[in-house]
Amino acid sequence: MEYWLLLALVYTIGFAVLTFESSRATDRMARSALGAGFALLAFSLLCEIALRFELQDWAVRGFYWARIGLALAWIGHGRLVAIWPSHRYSRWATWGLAAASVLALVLVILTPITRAEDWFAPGRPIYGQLGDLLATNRPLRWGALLLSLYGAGSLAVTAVIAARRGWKLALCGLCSIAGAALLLAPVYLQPQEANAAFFLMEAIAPVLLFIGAGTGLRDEQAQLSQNTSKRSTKRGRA
Amino acid sequence: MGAPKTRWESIAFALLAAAAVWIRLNFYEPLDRSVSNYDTERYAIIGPILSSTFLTSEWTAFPGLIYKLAEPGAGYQITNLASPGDFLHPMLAHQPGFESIVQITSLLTISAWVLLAWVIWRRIENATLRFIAATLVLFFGVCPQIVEWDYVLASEPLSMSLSVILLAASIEMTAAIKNSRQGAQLYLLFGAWLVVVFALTFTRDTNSILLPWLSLGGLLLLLFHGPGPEKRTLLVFAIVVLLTLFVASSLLARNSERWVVPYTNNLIGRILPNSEYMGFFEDRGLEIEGELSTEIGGNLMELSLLQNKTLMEWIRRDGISTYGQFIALNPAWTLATIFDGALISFEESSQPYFRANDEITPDWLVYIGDLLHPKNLDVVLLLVVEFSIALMLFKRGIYMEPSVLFTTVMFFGAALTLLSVSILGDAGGVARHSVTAVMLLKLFVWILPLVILDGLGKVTSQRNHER
Repeated sequence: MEYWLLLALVYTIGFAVLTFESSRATDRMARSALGAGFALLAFSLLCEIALRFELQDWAVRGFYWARIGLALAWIGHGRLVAIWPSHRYSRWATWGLAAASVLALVLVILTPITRAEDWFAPGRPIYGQLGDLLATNRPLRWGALLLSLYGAGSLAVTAVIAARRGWKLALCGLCSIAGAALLLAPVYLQPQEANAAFFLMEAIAPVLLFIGAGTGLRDEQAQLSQNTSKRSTKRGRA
Repeated sequence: MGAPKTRWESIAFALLAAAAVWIRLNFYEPLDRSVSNYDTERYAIIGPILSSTFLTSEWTAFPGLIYKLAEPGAGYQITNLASPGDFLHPMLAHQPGFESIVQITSLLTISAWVLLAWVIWRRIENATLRFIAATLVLFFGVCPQIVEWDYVLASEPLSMSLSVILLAASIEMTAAIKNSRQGAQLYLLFGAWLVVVFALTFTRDTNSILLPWLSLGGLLLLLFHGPGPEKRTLLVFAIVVLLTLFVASSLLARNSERWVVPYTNNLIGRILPNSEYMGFFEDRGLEIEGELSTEIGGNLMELSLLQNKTLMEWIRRDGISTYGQFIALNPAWTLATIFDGALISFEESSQPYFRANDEITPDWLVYIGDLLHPKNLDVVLLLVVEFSIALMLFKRGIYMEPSVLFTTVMFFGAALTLLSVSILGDAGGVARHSVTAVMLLKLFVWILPLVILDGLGKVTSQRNHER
């Protein structure tokens, strides 16, 4: 079932492209953040595919940076910005996340990789081997953990808020939480075997996140613009 | 006409196609090497083309025609024989006379994949997605799972390439029926499509099962699309030609000797080892005695059985109808056989004849090939889910490219039927016989996501435009 990873890569690139291309002036920041999240997720899948072929330094570093650290953070941030698009903290948070991403990249590049070709097994999932491969320091590990928590927390908060606006948005919120859970699960469970469940999890997570975060955002925007037009009609009547 | 492209996009596609051709020519063995199997001999000693028996001989007509036209003055010499059943897997070697066959087959293969990539690239509207689609199709076609078949002197590589060309041509034909293309351009396209249909039908007998599906596609277009009078006439003509060709090719195959060996394989390998099934055939006149009784469950391709006069007479007289009844009356056996055969077909769709040269083909290309050509049967399930999603979205007004979606749906059905017929047709060489169907099914895994994503992209851009 190795091809599920490539299939997930194709779909995730597609999600990133669609999200970027759908951004408009009103929700550009939210869409761009979401698109960046999917682009990072796609890059991490590419790294994972490369690592299933052979040990490559750039792929190890890229995977840690994009998947363990940033993908979920950017997707969650995109949802958060969509809820409060004009809040002054939204812009600061975006710049903060961008700065954290650059800092994380520098730290990952500086992190040495254990020369461990002897025991590195391309056939096994990278999650379980990453700890021994990449000699991460505390700032990097804690930073990655905080970013993931920020992403997951943002998705959870936005799901709760969106749930009050109708069952469709509630379902989207559930999808995004499930997607985030599937994305985080292998990082902490560290599966040792690349079995069907593992590949299915890797492939389903981006789809759930797209349905949850992408479609949710779209429906929310539609609802918001509907509410705005209703309000302006009422004001006009008054 | 497809989605509009800029000049730079066209140049980028040309570069992509050139890269694929470069990979094909540089990462595989030279085109003067080949490997034969037991079937090659039939083509090497083919009789005159303009004879009454040409279409009912031991060889199928289109490969026979190619071999005859490309035959050098000194003729063909088989010097490198492979037989997977006997664990004989040589390296590729030069076989005098066969160079041109490998060159023609390779040229057809690479042309087929570039053509399909171009058609898909034309039909997908989103610029990024269309390049991803073209890249996937081209890589799919230059992987060892496809290219290595070019060196095997058999009908399979021709069948694979022609089916890819037919898929591309059918997408264009469907688009031509649906859009405003008319006059000479339309008839030229239809003529080319018909030539491919004939060539594919006469490449392998089982390929004729594609014809009813193509007819069904034409009928659906006729009924639900409601084209103008000119296109309606063309569709009716196409349906009549396809059905006539189906009947004619079935009769010609029936009158040939090509099906007799596969039939005896089925008897001794699948049916007679089970006493209940044996009884079914005995009740319908099959006499199980002498050599036949000792061969039950033994080696397939037992050519000595062909000398058994009583057996051969029964097979030619009642064989096909009895087997047809058996299949219809034993659905559990039929489904189990198809399922077991499909498992093998997906697992072993690479050529089994020669040992590939690891020094020429890089490991990364083999790895990409393994990713693009999944070996699991779950591909079929995935396709069913994806087609259902695509059709559901299409029904909800998400406008996926209809020519690609419609044609792939038709070819999906056709490939499943072809797979079933190929598996039920011969107990031996199951993976080899079903390679065309399996290749199509694996290919759709990569085309369909891009069609769905492109449809979603159209909705997004439409919404943005409305705002």
